[in-house]
Amino acid sequence: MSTGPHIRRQGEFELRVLKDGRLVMVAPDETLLEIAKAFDDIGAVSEAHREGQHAEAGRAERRPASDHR
Amino acid sequence: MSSEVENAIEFASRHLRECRLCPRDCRVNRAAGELGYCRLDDKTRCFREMLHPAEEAELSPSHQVYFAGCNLRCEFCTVAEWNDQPLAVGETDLDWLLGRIEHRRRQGARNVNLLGGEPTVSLPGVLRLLSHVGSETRIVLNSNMYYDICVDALLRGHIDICLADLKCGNQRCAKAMLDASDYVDVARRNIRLAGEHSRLIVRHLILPGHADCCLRPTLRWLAAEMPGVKLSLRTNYVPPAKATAAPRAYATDGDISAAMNEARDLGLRLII
Repeated sequence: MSTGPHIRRQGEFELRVLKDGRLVMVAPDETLLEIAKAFDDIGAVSEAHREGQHAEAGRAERRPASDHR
Repeated sequence: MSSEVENAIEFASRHLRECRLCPRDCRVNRAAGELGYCRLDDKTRCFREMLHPAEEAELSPSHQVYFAGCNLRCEFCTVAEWNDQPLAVGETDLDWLLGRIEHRRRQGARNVNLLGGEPTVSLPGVLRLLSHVGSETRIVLNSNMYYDICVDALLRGHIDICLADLKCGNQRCAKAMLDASDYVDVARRNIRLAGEHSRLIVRHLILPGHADCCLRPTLRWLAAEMPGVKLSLRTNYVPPAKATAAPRAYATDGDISAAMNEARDLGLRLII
């Protein structure tokens, strides 16, 4: 198993759990957004948002939306 | 299809035979399969389409159409796998995509949001698509703004909203993180031009540690040159798995509030 960071390939999705408990979904597609919404619906997260294209990614966070919008 | 659109498609297609659609000025014959910086041939390749609920509020829900291939190499790109190997994505069938646009419209999409990668490197296909989309459909061009001046001319009249992603505030950072030392000048020129014919929203992603070199020059330029423009400060930077020049940290609440305050202090028109 490689000890270096995994570089995404086409068709793969990346989720990160940060030390503070935030869940980061990197450039989620519709399915991942639905998963984030499901988390939200059960109270696991308070926000799921994502931004488009090149630079950006999405997060499902345990913090209020206003913190990061 | 109007003769104006036909001419634009023909002109853009001719460009691909000696491609100069962006400042890379590769001059390769993409129609013959030669590949330049963007690694695209002359086909249009959509790798994802989806209804997005959380673009800027005035755009959401937005039908995002992602085109593979880009003329930048942003180290922090979150869809880099699609831009590194765009030819691995199949050619997009126009009728299929038009069907998806109709489907998403019925689902509540307020617009069709063209992004990537960089959609303008697929300009002939984008124009062909737009020529078949009804005039009642709002078209958003979500671009890094790094394109030749001819692209602006060809897009005039076909774009309702330009969602301009202005990434860096100086040449050094643009070279290090985007692999384009001329990016800032080119993008600023194109933003000015886009504002002449489209509604304009300028995005800037807050990069941790780049307040002095990227955020502040960007905000000050906007305040001086385009004081009424809508500004969307994006707050959810994700560090790349392997960062050389790009920040390795996530933006903090402090980074974000400082950026917002600075924009407000300059009188900029922040939107969410």
